[in-house]
Amino acid sequence: MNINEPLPKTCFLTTVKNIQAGAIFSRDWAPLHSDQDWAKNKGKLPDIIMNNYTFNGLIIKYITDHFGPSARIGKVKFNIKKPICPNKKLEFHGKFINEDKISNQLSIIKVEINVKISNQIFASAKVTAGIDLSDKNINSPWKIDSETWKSYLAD
Amino acid sequence: MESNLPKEILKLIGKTFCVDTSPITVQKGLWQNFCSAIEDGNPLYWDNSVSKKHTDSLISHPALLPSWAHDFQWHPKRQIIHPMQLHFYIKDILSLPFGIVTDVEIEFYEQVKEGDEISSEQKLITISECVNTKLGNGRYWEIEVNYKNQVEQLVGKQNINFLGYEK
Repeated sequence: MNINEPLPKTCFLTTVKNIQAGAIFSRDWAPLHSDQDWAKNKGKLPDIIMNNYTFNGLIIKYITDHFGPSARIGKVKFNIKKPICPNKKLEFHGKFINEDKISNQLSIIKVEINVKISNQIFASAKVTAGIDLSDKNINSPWKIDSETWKSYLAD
Repeated sequence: MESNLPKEILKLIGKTFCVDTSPITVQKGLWQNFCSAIEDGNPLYWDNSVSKKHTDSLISHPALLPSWAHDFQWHPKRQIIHPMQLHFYIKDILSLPFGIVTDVEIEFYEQVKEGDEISSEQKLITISECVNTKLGNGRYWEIEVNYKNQVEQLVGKQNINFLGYEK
């Protein structure tokens, strides 16, 4: 891939059920993620909102869906600028911003992602990941030892 | 700047505030329910025959790392421990009733697998001088949370930036 090359866009439709399930299964009991009455009446929000872990999960899914299941996520930096509510179509727009080849088969890549709803940016993220260029599973980034791996994550 | 901060806050900077021991062992059923909610079919979370080639066995979804250190919503024998106690302690000391997360950075070092036990340690890294924001007057602060497994390996680290404010 070339630097600044866009990644294919993907979409995810939020629902009451998947926002609640994301919160509950990430063991986040805060009512603004699962209780619509609380969110609207006490939280003064338009509805329940997606929690950080679910959002991070979708960012990681975007990377592994594109670069393959063996992509090893090293770092995710993100901020959610506007609340993400049910019944919204999230669009994930990624851009490839850096590649460090660490061997013939393995690279450490950086990707920037904007998450839009109706063409407005609701959240953004930067991800650092190790990917296997060979796609033969013989040089999996998961085989890199932890100390070496940590050194790849330093900015 | 920092000299305007209460002593209770100054003495927190750079020191471990609390260690929360693992309330629950990592379980495949829990992480697969999460994967189902976000429709993530990555075989490393689902399919032993694929995960064997990369991670020797199934791994938990990385996004759940902080979740394994969260307490239950209710427990039959003890009071529950709320997540991010340090954040709420700082808000209380500074009398800032509202708080939001401004950004999050999380690093993943080790795989998390069935049966692992994840504990967490919270530390205040920085706190700003008073700021005027659209939301109100307050301060920014950064908390680092280190996650360790049952053999004390550092599994990952999360740095969370907050704004605490009053209207």
